[in-house]
Amino acid sequence: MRLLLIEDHAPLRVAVSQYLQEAGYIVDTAATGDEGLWAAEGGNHDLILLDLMLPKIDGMEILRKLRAMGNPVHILVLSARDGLEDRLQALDAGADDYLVKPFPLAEVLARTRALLRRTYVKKNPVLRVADLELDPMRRTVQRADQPIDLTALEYRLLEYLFYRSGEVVTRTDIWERVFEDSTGGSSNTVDVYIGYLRKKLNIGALPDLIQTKRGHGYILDAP
Amino acid sequence: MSLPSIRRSLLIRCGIGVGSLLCLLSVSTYLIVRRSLYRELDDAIRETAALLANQVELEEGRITFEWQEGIGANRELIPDGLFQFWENKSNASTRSPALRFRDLPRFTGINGEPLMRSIRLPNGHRARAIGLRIHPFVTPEEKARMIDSGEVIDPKTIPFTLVVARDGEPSYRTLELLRNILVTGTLLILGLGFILIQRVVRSTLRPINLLTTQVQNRSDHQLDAALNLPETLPMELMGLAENFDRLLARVATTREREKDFIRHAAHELRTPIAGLRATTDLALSQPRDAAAYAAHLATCQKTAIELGELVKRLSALARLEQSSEAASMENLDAAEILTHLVESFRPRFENRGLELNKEIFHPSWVRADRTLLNIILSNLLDNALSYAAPQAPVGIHILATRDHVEIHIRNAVEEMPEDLDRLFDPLFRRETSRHDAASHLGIGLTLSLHAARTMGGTLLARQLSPDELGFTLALPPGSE
Repeated sequence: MRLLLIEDHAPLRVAVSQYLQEAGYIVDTAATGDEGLWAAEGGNHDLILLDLMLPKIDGMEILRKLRAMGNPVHILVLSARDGLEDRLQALDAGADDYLVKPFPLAEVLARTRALLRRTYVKKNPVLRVADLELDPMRRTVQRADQPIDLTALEYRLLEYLFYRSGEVVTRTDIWERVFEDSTGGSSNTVDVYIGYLRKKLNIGALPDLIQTKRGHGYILDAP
Repeated sequence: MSLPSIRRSLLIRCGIGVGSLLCLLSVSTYLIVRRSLYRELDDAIRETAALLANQVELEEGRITFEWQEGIGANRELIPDGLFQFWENKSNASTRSPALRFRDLPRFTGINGEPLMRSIRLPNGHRARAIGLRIHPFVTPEEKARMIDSGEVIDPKTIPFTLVVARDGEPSYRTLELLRNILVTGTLLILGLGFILIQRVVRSTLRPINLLTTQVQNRSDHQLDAALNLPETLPMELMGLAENFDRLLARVATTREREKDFIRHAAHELRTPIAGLRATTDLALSQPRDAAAYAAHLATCQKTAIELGELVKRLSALARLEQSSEAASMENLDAAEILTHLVESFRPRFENRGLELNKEIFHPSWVRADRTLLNIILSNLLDNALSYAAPQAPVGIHILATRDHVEIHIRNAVEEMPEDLDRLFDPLFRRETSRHDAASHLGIGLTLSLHAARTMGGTLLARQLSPDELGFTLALPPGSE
């Protein structure tokens, strides 16, 4: 899952982005409002973490512009402004959640997960497809009650497929949301990692849950 | 001690004023009436005395009283008349019938001149009386007879004292009645007037009470809201109320700025604290190697230094706001200090490609505090360095006027602030855009303004052209 953190205070930006990266997310960062807006307009983020008082372009302005463009990305506002008016203003302008500084990083992570579930309409914190389970909080995967060991990239790929389970996910989507450097490489890399996942998930004679839709992409679903 | 009261003061003053007027009026009325009655009485007495003075006659060598003979015109004097004659030599007296056997007081003026006085009649009534000396009159026939007989008697040798009185009791009673009426009337009018004045004063002061109630009843969230001035507010109070409203507006502005300051201060403190919290959360979220911990600690240290700097500047600002004694004034060469500072900033200006246009005349003596002057000039140069448009020249020059030495720093900016006055608000940075938040704490210009004022100077920001911003520091001139 690819997140965008727009925050001008360097120590906070570094700490939040590293923490989220260690939690398994790809985090793009921006230190100014104009950089942040430019990155957000790219439209390939699952969630934006947005500070309000930013150099060049204010966070509220970014929020309004994105919504005016019809960008549906979920936005978590991180702000030092704790007044009710500020919170209402941000939520009314299109923010999905509001967190007042200072905050524990664990809460940022929990709210990030909650918003991502909302992004893909998953209410249960433990994601399930047939006998395959993924727990985003524990970052564990098991099939038929057997734990499966995945690399960070494989985990991210599977988590993304889980969030979009039941629908076809294109290689481009996977490439942009799961792979850290999505500017280079090729769709073959996606196929290679799908292959790795299949090998680890298809224990014994268990059916393959990742189906290939030729010319379209992949779909994680019960057989 | 009771506080001065407009109501009490008005009541007392109006009471004293109206009371004095009433008393004066009553006393005047009484005196005029009394004088009139006395005059009437006295005139009647004088008239009677004048008639009676001619009633003593020397006839055939002896004294006769004409009135006793019942001469026609004098008849009315007799029945009720109160008069008495005394022959001064023999003290023999003759009374009017009305006196019966009682005497009137015997008196005259000096040398027998007529004298009017108030007396008590034998029956106890108050009366007015005149006493005078008279001499019998001699007819020409009697004079001729005395010459013929060779026994001429000079009437001047037979003086009489005549006292004529008139019962004044009815007049005195009328006067007493009038006095009672006037006293009672005055007291009644005073009492009623007091009530009336009190009501008038109360209704006059009602608008003040209305305003007072409005001020008293305001809740905490509307302390500085303008008064709801009634249309019926008197002109005299309207001015006061409008000035009060203007004061409230100023208070509201100050409160708004204080709120802004607190909001910005909270933001400025929250953000680095959030950085600290996030860095420590991250460091402790999983076991890490020593280098990673060191990096996180270094981040925390940097943030702590940043916080410390902010707190230090806020403290300096508070100190300057509290006391003007914070300055240690001396004669300084502003040109030398400015040149030194400009040279220390030069590499950073050159790195940004900013050209420095200096026009500094040596020496430029000012009365200033060295530390405060350094703070101001450093802040102005730092601002020019951070906010000047790329490749734009930065103008720095000193100008001596008659009253001040002015230091001007000007540069083009990419975005002109909308409200230049607010640049000096503590922690104010334009809401929509924060420049270089890490190095600018948003308090430098506030601190500079207070430092300038502490030294008896001024610091102004001016838009010199559509894209050029200038700061002018004016300081009192000094001497070498």
